[in-house]
Amino acid sequence: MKIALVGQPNCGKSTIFNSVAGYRTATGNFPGTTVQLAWSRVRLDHQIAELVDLPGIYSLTSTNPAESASKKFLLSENPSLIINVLDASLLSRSLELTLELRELGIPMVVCLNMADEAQRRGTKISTRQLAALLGLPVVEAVAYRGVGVRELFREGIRQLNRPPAPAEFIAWHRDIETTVGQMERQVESNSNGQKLPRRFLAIKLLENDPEVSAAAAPELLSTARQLRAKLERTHGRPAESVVMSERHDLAMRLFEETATVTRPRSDPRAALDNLLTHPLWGYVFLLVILVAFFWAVFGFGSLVEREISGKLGLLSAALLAGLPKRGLAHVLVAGLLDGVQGGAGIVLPYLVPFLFGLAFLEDAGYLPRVAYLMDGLLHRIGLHGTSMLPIILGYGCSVPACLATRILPSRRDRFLASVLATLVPCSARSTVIFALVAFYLGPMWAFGIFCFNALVVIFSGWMLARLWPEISPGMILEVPRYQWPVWHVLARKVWMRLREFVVLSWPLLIGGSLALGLAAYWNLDRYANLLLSPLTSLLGLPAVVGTTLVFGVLRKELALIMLTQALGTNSVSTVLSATQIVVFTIFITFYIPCLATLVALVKEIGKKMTALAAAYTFVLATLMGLAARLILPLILSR
Amino acid sequence: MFWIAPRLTKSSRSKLTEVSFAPTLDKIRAGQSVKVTEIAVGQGATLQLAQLGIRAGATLAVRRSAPLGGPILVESAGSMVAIGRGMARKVYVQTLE
Repeated sequence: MKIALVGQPNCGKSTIFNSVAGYRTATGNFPGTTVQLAWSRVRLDHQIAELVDLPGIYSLTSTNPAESASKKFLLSENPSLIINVLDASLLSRSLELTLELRELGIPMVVCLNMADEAQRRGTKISTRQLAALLGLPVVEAVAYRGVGVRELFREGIRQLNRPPAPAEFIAWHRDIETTVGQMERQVESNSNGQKLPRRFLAIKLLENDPEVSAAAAPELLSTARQLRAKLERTHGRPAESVVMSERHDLAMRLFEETATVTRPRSDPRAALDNLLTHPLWGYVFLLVILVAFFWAVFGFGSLVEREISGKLGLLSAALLAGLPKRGLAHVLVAGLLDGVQGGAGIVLPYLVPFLFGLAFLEDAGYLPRVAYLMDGLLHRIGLHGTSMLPIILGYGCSVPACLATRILPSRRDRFLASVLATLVPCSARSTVIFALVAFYLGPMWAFGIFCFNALVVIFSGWMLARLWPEISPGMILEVPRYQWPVWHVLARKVWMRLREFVVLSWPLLIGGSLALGLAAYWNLDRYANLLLSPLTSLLGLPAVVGTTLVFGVLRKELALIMLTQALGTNSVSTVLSATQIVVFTIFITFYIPCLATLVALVKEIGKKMTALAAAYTFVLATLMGLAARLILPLILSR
Repeated sequence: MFWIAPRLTKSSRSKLTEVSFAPTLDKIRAGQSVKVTEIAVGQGATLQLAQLGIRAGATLAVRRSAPLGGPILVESAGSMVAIGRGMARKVYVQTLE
């Protein structure tokens, strides 16, 4: 039994999902896409059900890949129950989706979430009346406080095997009903094993829905074309717009019948928003928030790193003491310990607070404001303003950043955003910057590298946008109200993203560390170094760092751990000059995205584009490294 | 599988709007309420805007206008929507008192 949580973006679906799902939740990719779905097994009244949290949709006509995944799920996976979550404070808009979902003929329950917010806005909704007019059960809830969630599911179980009853109120204008009826008859005579309700298919054909039309018989399409032309003639606008307006009007009428609006209470968040979107102060606060964010993450990270690395260092020294030096066992144990230590001591201390902070800003609703503030600048470069969201996420990890590009409507914008997001130093690369440059040359140098990186990202965006000229469709982005994040939702989000590292990358890190140990043991690393010597000598780096660059493709932070292994010392500055440290870091920051990112890129933008992106980043890294090699000595010698 | 790949139907219907002197959304100063008279953007964007309640006949309140040719922040049907400047230029409006 499958239960689907469906609702418009920011309606609090995920909060409901989290309050019943427990911690044994998985995220999986929707077949054939990288759109992530969260699903969980839940026990409801002695029944086990699979609860699926679908990406938010405004309607069943999709405008981006995430939305089409939700739609595809609803149409082809036969859920037994739809829980339609509505933001009660946006009732009339949310009802448009409800009306559309109703046509699917799947048992359904409506959840009026954020009832407290509606009250604050002065909207009083009669749940009874709404249920009667819609012909669907309606349950009021305040999900973040856990109010109403139990009743919602109880009502849902009662609805199983009971598709929505016909409701008198839900009827369109007569001429449109007639047209829909004509289409329905045609659908009926052409239904070759089609499971979806006739009326739903008829409406979707009249709306010229690309997915439904693609699967329809040619006779149906020709009827649809005729009827669409008729609607267009009689109403003076495209058929899909006629159908949409019908739904809109009906939703408005439902709203007027069931809700009474009084004076809204004053909202302190409005004042906050005035400040944070202010044409001057908005940017000041943006800078302050980002600087404070990074400062906090690295402050916390370095504190914990020192603690953990110290303890683990002692532990590994104790473990290694018993083994004969230069023996195979010593090499293996040392490699293993280095890998474990690299994950626990270097990566996790920065990754955890970073993901937590990012999830906080995300759930609080700040990121869309950042996109709003940055759109003007990005548009000048030739990018879509919403690209800012994946790029910010890129500072955390390139993989979710690439996945986040799916919120962009055009292929070109998705390509540009994913390439730029991979150029931004992710937390692993930031770790390299901090552990090498900040540690040996001082924090100002690290800051300089971040600024330099930002400039290169801007320049790359500018250049790539011109290589692929296309007028970016422009931003249309809902900016949700601020919300105090619910901590268990936050915790799960962090855990989901962290799990990627723990189960996927960490074993790779340990394996890589073992492999390097073995390679050194059998003197294999010499060949890799020899092969890469043209590159390393071009950059003015010692040949031994060649292997570390190879490992950097597996995981960026591996390059750092491998560097100390390859150089055979923990104090890098005794072997490398200041210029070499900076050149190495710059090269690592820009060159080919790590393996996990490459995989995500292939799924998101295709093999060819990924190869292009990898080649571009490699050339960029070499040029920037070379530039640093030539320019830095001039600055340092002064 | 029900369908394999969504077919991309690019609207070939090019819309020629007559020269009109109606103000567009990008010209409206913050604090002003407007009524949308016409939206002259592509099919996809029209749909996206309509989903957020921005369609001919709707009332919007302009909240902010970002500097550097940035987006316009409008309140529509109770929610805030950022609309890129280029797009706002194609949303014709009529100011309300």
